[in-house]
Amino acid sequence: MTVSNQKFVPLDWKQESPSALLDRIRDAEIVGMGGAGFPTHLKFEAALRAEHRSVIANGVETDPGVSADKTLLRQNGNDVIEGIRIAARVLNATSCILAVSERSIANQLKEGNSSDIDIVEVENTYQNGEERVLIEKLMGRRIASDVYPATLGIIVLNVATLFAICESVRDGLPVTKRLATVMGHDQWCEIGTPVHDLAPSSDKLRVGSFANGRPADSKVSLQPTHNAVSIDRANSAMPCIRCGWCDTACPKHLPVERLLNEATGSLSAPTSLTHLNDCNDCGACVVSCPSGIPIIDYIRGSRDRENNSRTAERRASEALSRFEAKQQRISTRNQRTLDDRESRMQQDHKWQ
Amino acid sequence: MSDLLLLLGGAALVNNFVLVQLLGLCPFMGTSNRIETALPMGIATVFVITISTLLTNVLNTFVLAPWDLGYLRIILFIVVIASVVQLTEQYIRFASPLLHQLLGLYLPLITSNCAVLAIALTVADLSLLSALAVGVGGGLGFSLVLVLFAGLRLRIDQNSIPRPFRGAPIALVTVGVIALAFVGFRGML
Amino acid sequence: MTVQLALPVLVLATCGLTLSLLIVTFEALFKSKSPKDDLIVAVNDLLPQTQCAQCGYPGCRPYAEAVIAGENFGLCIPGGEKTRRALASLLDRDLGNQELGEPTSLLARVREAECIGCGLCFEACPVDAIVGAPQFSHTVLESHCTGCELCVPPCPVDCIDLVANK
Repeated sequence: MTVSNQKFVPLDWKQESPSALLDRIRDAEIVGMGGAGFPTHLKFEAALRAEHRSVIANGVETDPGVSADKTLLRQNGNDVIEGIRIAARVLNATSCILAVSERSIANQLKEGNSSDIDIVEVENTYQNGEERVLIEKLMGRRIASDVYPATLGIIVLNVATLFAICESVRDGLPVTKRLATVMGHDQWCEIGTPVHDLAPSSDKLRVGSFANGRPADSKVSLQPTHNAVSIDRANSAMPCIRCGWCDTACPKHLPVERLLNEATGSLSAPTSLTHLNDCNDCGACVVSCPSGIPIIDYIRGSRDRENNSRTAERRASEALSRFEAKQQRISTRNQRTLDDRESRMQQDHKWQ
Repeated sequence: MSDLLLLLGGAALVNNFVLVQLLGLCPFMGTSNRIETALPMGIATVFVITISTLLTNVLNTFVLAPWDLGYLRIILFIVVIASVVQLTEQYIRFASPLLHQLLGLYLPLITSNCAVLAIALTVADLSLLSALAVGVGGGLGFSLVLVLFAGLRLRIDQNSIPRPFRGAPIALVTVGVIALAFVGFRGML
Repeated sequence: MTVQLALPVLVLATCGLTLSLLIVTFEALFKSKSPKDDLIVAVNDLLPQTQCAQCGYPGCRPYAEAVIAGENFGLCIPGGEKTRRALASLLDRDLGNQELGEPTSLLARVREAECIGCGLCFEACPVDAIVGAPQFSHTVLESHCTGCELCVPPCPVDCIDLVANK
């Protein structure tokens, strides 16, 4: 994921038209910095097609050990709020909510800010930062997992994304750095820095929190979507003791212990692909595991393997049916040739 | 009727041929590692036991007993059981070559399944209906334990078993423990 | 003495004969049907269906039949080690140690500007992944291509490339 380095003209966004602001967001190639990296302008364009539009700023950040968003709100809270207002202007939104998980941050931001933005404190429990869970908590609306909230007019943007929007629109600056929690300390990092240069004294690193981050080798560089660099504890994992705490911790009530042991064991039992696909990589199981097993890695591995092998099986069976169809077509064609010749030989001919 | 049901239940659970009388352990250990082999093996064994009990009981009542040829039982019964197994195998090979491939060697090994011979010998002197009840019950009990173990062994394989115990050793230890559980049926009937 | 011996001998002989007759009748009645359908289907389902003939047989099903009859089950190159192990497991045969490498998945791609429309590749493709009318340029439907490489030799202008399938 490359980010444009282009500098733009600073805009007085209160005077500019919403479409000009959207053009700026598009040209600056701003992507969601909360983890998924979805092109932000597409979210806006989807929401514009809905009738009533709202902006939710997600400053909840419940990833264990990560505090980048909270620090951003403390240090640059007003810029984030300005970003929310810009987003609201693009959409002509009817409501704006900023969700935070710490009271001190909520109090700090409520001072000196007018009431056009609702600043709501949300409990710091895991999964409260997830898009649909947050929408349900703030607006009471339950959205199905196959419906994108943006299509219903609700856009949820991470506070880092809103900060980038503010800097890009108001100051014309490209997105070249972001705040990330590196080994427990929040610091501004240049996007594109090799992750191992950010934490040179450690051997194995993960991008993201220790729970749901991904292992980072020496080739990985910091992307706009990475909010933390943590130590990788996979090597110090102890064997699974079948305590079942992961099953209790999973917010989606998946049979985590069984999925883990199917992934590690020599068992070739049919793996439940529905369960694997339901997992949204929150990492709660990793946090709860007393043996420190990186359960997420196994589940991701199983999921990829199963999806690939299902795809391979499907392709093989499709190829088989096409092959048989072709055989059928050729034999019908040959048969028809023979039949035609037979019937022609039966007719009377001038040369007979 | 209730006598027959008692005989059936007794042969299936209280005097289970595999876990209580410890007969027929070879095909049991060989096919109980997967459910795809355990269930067909159980069904085939029930079928073989029923037919051979029928034939052997009839043979005993009309040929061996009247002419005082009791000493021929073992030889004759083994020949009958072997033939029934052969017929079953021919049918399975015809109906489903895949099943035949899956069961492999264990299908003809039903011949040497001592549980089958034991049932035939024990019921030789009973009336035909009683003999059938014990036969079917014994077969059902055998299948039950087979399927139970297929599931158990799948779960055992999922755990981290110490290296010296992996495979047959831990399975046999489990057989012992479950056999203790089946002793609990004693006194039920 | 002989009378005492005669009876058991008679009984055993009669039983033996009757049972043998029964077995022979069954043998004739239940002649195993050929082709041994569901076993062939089960083996064929383990093969990748590229119909590429790299195993030496003109398709996956002929190879399945050959493997059942005893052929070496490690000849399927697109199937790779995974297929070899699956076949060994189903047929209960010794694995041996000639491991197959992981196959590289390929796709055929026609350089359409050079295509003369002869249609020889169309005939060669076992799964109809090539479309094109005679005298018009042909192309490969990448979602259908199995990477069997059978279209490459017939092309008279050599305009088909094999690219890696991601």
